[in-house]
Order: sequence, then structure tokens, then C-alpha cells
Amino acid sequence: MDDLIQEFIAETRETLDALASELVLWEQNPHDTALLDNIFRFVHTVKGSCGFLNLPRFERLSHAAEDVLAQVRDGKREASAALVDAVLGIIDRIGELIVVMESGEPLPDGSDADLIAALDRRANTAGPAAHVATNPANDTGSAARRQAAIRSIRVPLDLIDHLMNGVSDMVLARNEVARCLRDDQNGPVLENAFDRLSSCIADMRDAIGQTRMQRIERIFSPLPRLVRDLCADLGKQVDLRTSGSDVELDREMIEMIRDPLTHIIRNAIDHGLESPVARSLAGKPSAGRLSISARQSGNQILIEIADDGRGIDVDKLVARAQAAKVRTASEIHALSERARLELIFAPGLSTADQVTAISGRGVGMDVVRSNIERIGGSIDLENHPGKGLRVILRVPLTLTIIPCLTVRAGGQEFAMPRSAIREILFDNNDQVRIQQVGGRDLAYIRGECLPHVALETLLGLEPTAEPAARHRTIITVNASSELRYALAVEAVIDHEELVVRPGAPVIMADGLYAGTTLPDNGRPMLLLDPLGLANRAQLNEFARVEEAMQGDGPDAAEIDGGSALMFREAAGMLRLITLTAVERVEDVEAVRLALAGGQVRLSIDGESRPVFGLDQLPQSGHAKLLHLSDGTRHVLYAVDDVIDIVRLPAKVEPASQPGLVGGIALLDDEQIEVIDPHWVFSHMIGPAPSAERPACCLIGTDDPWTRNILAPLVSAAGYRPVFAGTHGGQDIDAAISIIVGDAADTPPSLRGEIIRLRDTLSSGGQDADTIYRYDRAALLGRLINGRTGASGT
Amino acid sequence: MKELYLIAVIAGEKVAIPAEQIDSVVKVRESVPVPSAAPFIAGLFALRSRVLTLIDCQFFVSGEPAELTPGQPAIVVNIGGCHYGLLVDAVIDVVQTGIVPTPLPGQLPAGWSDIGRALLDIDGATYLLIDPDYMVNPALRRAA
Repeated sequence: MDDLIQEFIAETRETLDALASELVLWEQNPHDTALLDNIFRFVHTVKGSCGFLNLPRFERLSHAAEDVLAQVRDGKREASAALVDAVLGIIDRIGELIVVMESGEPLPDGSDADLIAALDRRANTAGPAAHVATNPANDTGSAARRQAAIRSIRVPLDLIDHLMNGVSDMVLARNEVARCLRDDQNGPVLENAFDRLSSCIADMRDAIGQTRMQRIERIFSPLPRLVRDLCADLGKQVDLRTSGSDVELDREMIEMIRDPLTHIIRNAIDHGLESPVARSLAGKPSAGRLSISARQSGNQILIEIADDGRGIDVDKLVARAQAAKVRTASEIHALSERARLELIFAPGLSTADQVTAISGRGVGMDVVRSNIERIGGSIDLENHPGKGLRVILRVPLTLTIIPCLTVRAGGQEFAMPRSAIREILFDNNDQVRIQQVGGRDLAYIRGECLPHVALETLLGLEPTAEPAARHRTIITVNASSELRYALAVEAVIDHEELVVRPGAPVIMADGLYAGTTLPDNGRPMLLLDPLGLANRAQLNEFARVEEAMQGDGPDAAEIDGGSALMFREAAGMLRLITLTAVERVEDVEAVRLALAGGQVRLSIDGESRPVFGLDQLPQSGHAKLLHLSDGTRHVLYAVDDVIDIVRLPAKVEPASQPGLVGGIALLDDEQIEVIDPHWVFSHMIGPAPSAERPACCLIGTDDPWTRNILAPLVSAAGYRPVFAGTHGGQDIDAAISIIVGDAADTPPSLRGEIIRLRDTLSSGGQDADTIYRYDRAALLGRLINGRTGASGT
Repeated sequence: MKELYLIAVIAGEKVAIPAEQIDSVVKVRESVPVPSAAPFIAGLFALRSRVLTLIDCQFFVSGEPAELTPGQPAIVVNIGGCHYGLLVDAVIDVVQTGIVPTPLPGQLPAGWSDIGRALLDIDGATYLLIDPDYMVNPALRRAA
């Protein structure tokens, strides 16, 4: 019986979650019979189950709601706003009772007569039975939806973890076999069999990893209800749009971002969006727009919450900060525009004029930020005063697999999350100056002053006695957006993606470690917590001074073309690259570089990647590399040295020829070439392999002109030419089709865009889709348009 | 009702541990130290794909950290969803007895009375019954 009740609780909860958005839709559109059917089905199921499980209170509630809904369905009553409210009241009560049951407490005494009476009272005052429009299309739609529901079973998390452990064991066993295979010379048959086994195990690991994933829908679906209730309380109108609810996230991650997301939405509706009257005065539609979207970018999930309200009033925020003594006037004066906006994250600050029940008590954005940062994420604001605010949350895809840097200190290896690392350099670099000031070590790196600590000191390890000639490596760490420091380690070993598990409570207690991991060598490794290290080094009180020094100054925005990194090429000239393309700068030892296949390649993350800008191995024993990233792919760019970070002027003169140099920037009357990152990526990664390109169907006689002259042009425009003969083409999923020659017929059912090539300049029947076969510009134009159109959909 | 106990040696003395709390007994080849952790943590070791925390049982009694000899036995317990290895000198036997443990006498030296929970008489020999919960997180009991 207990099992049945547990099942009932779980099922009712899940349906309630899924139903929340439908309830709101139904309120807006009470005549939608498909929605009504869904709600009716819910109360009907609850009623059926609780009669069986002997839960009279649930039964009374659901029975009353079912009666009323049945009347609406039969057209005997109209779904008035009052009736909708009463039904929502009942469903809410069911939800509350479920929560009580789940906690194992006895159901509280109380009658639901008030709610049930509310339904009936409306029955008396309701007018004559109104005609409810029924639309047969809706009925079939709901039937289809019912069938589309994915069949699923509930599996205990323990079991999945057990499976995951099993697979991890398999991976380790495979690695050991791989080592044995490498040692002995074995035949290719064995190797092939082993490769097949490897790929099976990899598939298996991915599949089990996915069982932990859940659609973000789980937190999106209750939002319409939340927004509706807030609007009702605050007298505002909100047009809520969500997108990307099919994005998947780790189950635990979903739980971790639920509260921060809710908080940001509350803020947006309470403070951001104006009242309908104020909105129409400002020339905006009376319903405020709130859009929430999720998407995946590389190994991060981006969640954007954008409203078209009044945005953050930075001046008011600054005044509040001063009044609340969060910052002194001189500190605030030194802050950049961006840092002022980020005062919103300071504890104890709010821009709300009135404290309401919803928000405005000044506990909030600081907690939101620390919660997001705790799971390795970040939060950004884009403020447009008077026009709206966009909040961007970035969270890692899973909690368990983290890209890490492995470092050595005191003879022991540690992992450090790569997201916190800005730059890796050797301490004999010209741009690093380490100096003791007032008993604390400071590192000056290109003019920026950072507190400098050695990892061995923090962990209480003995520094390994080593030849004085060997240099140490300095990692600059972003522990949080306000706290940076330089961490000295013995050496950086590798970049790896590591499966991280929480450590035992006794180990996690002092905050230095974020977890444990087991790399391929089978020796356990500790994952360092960058913020915990900073706390251990007592760097917190140091941070505020830093921030003022890093501020861009008030006039920085005037020449804004973004920041750029100035560096010296191996050949000696200075060049610039936009800073957003540079993920980090790293000094690598020459032993990790190898000359292979005519390219210099770096071994990194267990793979070999080509390095741009080096045609021979460096003589000096190490090389400085820029890690360029477009979010998913990485390119390494070798430089002689990094000089400075500068502001790019708003106007960059474009280069005459496409190539490595995309433009010329004028900095203090000096002309400096600016690298075109797009060219570097396209050069290093190459165009999409031919299988991934859209197909272009060539229809007509298979003559030498088509094959030798047209096809290469089509390939150059980024297509995969497919020869279809005179009548083919229907069964090829082509993005674009070219019909060659006046004589060829147009096949009856062609998908995509069609271009017809005519043989001569002056044939009749001219229309926009017919192009002379040597009108190269027009033909290429059409092809390129077709491609951007295809990739845009 | 008969209960199973594992008899092991800590700091040269035979002790009993309730078998229901024990996952397995493994040999530890090597461990990785955890810098600046509590002194009773001997390090981390790998058991297949899992990372376990190695608890130095001897430290509670003698106050001296034990030197791990490769192949030394550890008793794997699962407490609060986390796996630990209790490093002991040796594992002797598993015994079954229906005897009810008797309360501790008051005069045990400090270390022993912390990790001991009761006394157990089996076949004429008396063993101290060890409390693994205390050893994996002593702060919890002190706070309680």
C-alpha cells in the first residue's frame, strides 16, 4: 500500500508540474477544449486513485472540480475567469496536500468546503449555459499529444550511479588492456577488435551519462504559472515567452539553478517591468515582454532572461550603495561603468523604492550570484536603461565532467578547474615582476597588480628542492568576478577533462578542495577550489582595492572597439587580436611540441593539435601560445610575446585582401595589423567535410560542361554537387537544384530552390530564376544566398 | 539473533567491527596524501574507478600517523553515501555471536574510549567494539 501511495504522490507531482503551464493557457483561452481535456483528465485520475487509496479529502476536492469541468465540457457552463480561479484553487490545494503527504506527516485537518463552495457559488450566479465552441482539430491534436508522450520508467538514482561506476571500471580496464597492447607487438586483428570494444564502451558511457540528463523544461514549465500569479499580485501584464526547453542539463544542475532563475524572474516582474499605465506613457505596449531562453554553447548552457522594462538605474544604484555604506564615494568614483552596474550583486542592496512581499528586501542578487558561481557558472548583465535588462546565466553542462588543468606542487599533482584560469606564464617572463610589499608578495603582470601566492605555502607542503635554474609557472586565477590572484606552482602538466566526484565530508570541510578525481594513471587526484584557496590565503579584503585599480576609467567607453591583445609575432612585428577570441595565454614547454606531417603540433587534452604560426620547433625550450576559441573549437597561435591589452579604436580599416590580417588599426599614430580570427579558424579547421555540406542537385544531360566547369564552381560555393541526370532529383534532399540547358525539363516535384541555366544570352522567357550560364556573378550570388538561407533554418 | 563481527588489529590490539557496516576488505597498494587535511586522514586511494578516503585508525589511539606499507589491509565502509577505507594492521577473522555487547568500563585511555562503543565477549576473549561512524567524521559527535 505504501508503494502505491508513493507512486501516487510521484505521479501527481509530475502531472502537476506539467499541467502548470496548461492551466494558465486555459485561463487565457477558456474555450480550448484540448487544454480543458488535459485538466479534466488530471482531476479525473486523482479522483480515481484516491478513491482506491482511501484518501477522502483528495477525493472530495477532485470530485467537485471534475463535476464543474464536466459541465464546462458539455457546454452547460461557461469557463468564466471566476470559475478558472476556483479550479486553480482546488488544484493548488491538491498540490499542497501532496507536499504534506510526501514529507510523511499526517494530512492536516481541515475542510475544503470553502473551495468547493466557491465552485458552486459561481454555479448559481453563472448566466445561462453558453455555447462552448468545439473545434474538432483540437481534439485530434490532443490525441496526438497523448500518443507522443514518451514512455518512461522511474529508475532510482542509486542504480544509475551504480551503472556509471560499472562503466568507469570498464574504462579503466580498457585503458590497462590498451597499455598491454602497446607493449606487445600484436596483429592488426586484435587491434581492430580492441578498437571496437573501445567504441562500445565510449557509447555506453555517453548513454549512461545521458540518463542523468533532464530537459530544462522541468524548470520552464512551472514558469507561466509563477508569472501569472506575480502579475495578479502586482497588477502588471506580462507576455512570457520561453524557448529552448528541450535543452538538456544534469539533473542536479537543474535543481541548483531553479531558485536563482525564479529570483531573477521575480525581480524582472517586480522591479523591471513597469505598470501598464507607465508603459503606455513610455510608448511601450501595455503588456511587458519577458523572454526566457536556453541554449547550449560548447560545454556550457546559456540561459537568458530578458525583459523590456526600465532596466537598472545605475545612478540610483550608486546612490543606494553610498547610502548603505557598501562602498565609499571615492571607491565608487574609481569604478568603471561595468563595475557600477555590478554593485547590484553587492550584499544588502536593492533598487526597489518599496519593499514588497515579492522582492526588494535586499537579499537577492548576491545570493543568486554565489549560487551560480558555486556550480562553476557565471552571471552577466546587459543593461539598457529605459529599454530593458538582459541577464545571462552560464552554467557548465554537467557537474561531473570538468575541463581541468593538472599542476604539480610539492611533488604532488592537483587539478584546477579550467574555467577559473586566465593565463599561464613562466616566472622568468619579462612581463612578470614579483615583489614583496608590506609582507605580501605581489605579482605585476603587464601593469596589473595581483596578490601572489605559492600553492605549496597554501597547502602546507614542502617546496621540492630543485635546481635554481628551473623556472616556476604562474597561473592567474579568476576566483570570482571580483577576486583575482596569481598562483605559483612547480609546473603545469596537462589539460584534461576529468570526472569529478565530491570527496568525503572531512576532506571537503576546509573548503580547499572541490572534489576528487581519478585520472588514467590510477592515482587519485584532488580538485582545488580556487575560491577556497583565496580564502585560505586571506585574499578577500585585498580584492576591493584591486577592483578600483582595474576599472577602465570613465572615458574608456568613448573609443570603444572592444579590447584587443597586442602581441609580437615570431617574425618581430606587432599585431592585434580581439581579446574575446583569446581564451587564454599559455607558456608550453618545447617537449610537448613535435614536428609532424609538416606542421608543428602540440599534445594537449590527450590529442594532438596543429599550432599556427610556427614552422619549426622553438629553440628556446618553450613557446608562448594563444588559445583562440570560438566557443566550441580551439586553435593555437604561436607568438613571440604578449605585449599589452589595448582598446581598439571604433574604426578598423579593412585590409584589401582577405587573409590573416583582417584590418589596420591606428593606435597613437602607429598602424598595427589586426588579425582576422575567422580567417585563422577557417584556415586551421578547413571548410565543412563534404558529407556535411548541403547538396546541390545538377539536373540535365551529364555533359563535360556540367561535370568539369559547373561542378567545381558549385563546390567552391560550399555545396556538394550531385549529378541527377535528366529526370532525377526528386529523391535527393537538395538545398538547391540547378537545371542545366534550355532543353532540360523541370522535374515535377523538386524541393528547395531552383536555378535554371540557359545556354545563350538572349533566349526568351526571362525570369528571376533563369540565369545565363556564364553570368558568374549572378550564379554565385544565388548559390551563396541559398546556402545562408539553408543554414539559417 | 546472531550478528557477524570482523576481528581486526588496530595499534597491536584486536578489535571488533560490526560486519553489517562493512563493504569489503581490500589491500591498499599506495595512497595519495591530502595536504592540510585532518591528521587522521591517511590519504586517498583508488578502488577500481572510485576514490576512497583512507582513515588512519592507529592515529586515534596512539596519536602517531601510521606509515602505509604496500598491501596493508583496509576495511571499506560506506557511511553517509561516501566510501572510506579504515587502515588497520591486520584482519584476522569473522565471527558470529549472539552475545549482547556490554557497556564500556569508564577507565579506558582517551583515544580508545573515543573510537570504542562497547565491549564484546566472544569465546572467552574480550574485544573492543569499534564505531566507524566516529572515525570518518569525529567533528560530528563532538558537535552533538
